[in-house]
Amino acid sequence: MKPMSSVVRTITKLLLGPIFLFGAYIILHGHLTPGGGFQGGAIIATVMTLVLIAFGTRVWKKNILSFIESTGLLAFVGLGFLGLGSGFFLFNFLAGSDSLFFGKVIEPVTGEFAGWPANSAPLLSGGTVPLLNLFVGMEVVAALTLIIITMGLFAFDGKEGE
Amino acid sequence: MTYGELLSDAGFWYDLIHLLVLIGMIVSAMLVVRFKDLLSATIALASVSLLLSLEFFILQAPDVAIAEAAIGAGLTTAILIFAVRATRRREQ
Amino acid sequence: MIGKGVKIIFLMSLAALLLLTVYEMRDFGEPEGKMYIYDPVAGENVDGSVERTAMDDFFLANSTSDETATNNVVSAVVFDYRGFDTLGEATVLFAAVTGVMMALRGAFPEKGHAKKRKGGGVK
Repeated sequence: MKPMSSVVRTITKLLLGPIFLFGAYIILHGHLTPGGGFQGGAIIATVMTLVLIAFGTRVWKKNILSFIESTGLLAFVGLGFLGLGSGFFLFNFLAGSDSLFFGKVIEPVTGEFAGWPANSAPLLSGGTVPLLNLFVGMEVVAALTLIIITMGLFAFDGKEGE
Repeated sequence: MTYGELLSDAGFWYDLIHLLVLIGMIVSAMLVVRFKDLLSATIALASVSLLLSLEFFILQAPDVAIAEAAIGAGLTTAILIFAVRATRRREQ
Repeated sequence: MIGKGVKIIFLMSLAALLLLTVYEMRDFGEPEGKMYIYDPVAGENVDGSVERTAMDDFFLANSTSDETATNNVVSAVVFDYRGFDTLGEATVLFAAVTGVMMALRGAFPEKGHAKKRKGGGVK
């Protein structure tokens, strides 16, 4: 795949950082704001697609991407099995405890639901939910990037990348 | 105040934007079928996805809107353009 | 093939079904009818003509407390109460990647074979 014109490459260099940061924000704030691992992972995979199309890069390390994908899925299952110790599979054993990810965000809602202000909770809340968000995000980033670069390099060069 | 009342307070402009998005989706979807140039059909499909994500946002589902915008308008378009590049551009 | 009249009748009946669905649909954001609500104070379900089901009220009442401590109720449902579904979704994506890479790898020779054939030129 040949690199595209100088205009496309410059704009890609400008947009690469902000879009990547936005995807990371969507993943890491999945337990506070709309979004989560899947959505943020799809955004970061879009950045990877932009890089592939603009620069025509052929030096993708597929082994590293496969490793990230497998690690994300295995860590998800492993965290689920850790919850088995204090309840059931995927039990949120960190919420309400004294560990790093803890916390009562806000008092329980009684009566008529009034609605919370957006992003009012601390970042280190949610128990296992942010961790699961991170693992799903890793898995989705690696999976969608792998699909895109495999199909893209196949379509343009008729052979695999390295 | 329920959610429906909140939305009906937005009134005329809300309904107009909602209607325009839906009409644009239908027109784009018809263009996808009508186009003989497969690249144009792919771009029309991307515009359907973009308008669908706008519709999800109007219907207060931001999670689905983000996923639809990233996957439908971004990755699916890229994969379909790769497929058009690997085969041929004109429909026969 | 199917005649044009049959196609038109089929499409018109489909359009009539969809329009009937739109006509029967409730207002946006307002579930109707009498249902059970969960009273967090009493700790039991009570009858009431309200807009949420018992499960919705349970999620809204408990997702911010010790149970999940998550501000975003959607995230709490997706990753905690229905975490097994999310695991299934991730597994589906994993299987899709495996299928794509297997399918596109089989169409062309492996790197090692190419190296043998071309005399070690590919790096």
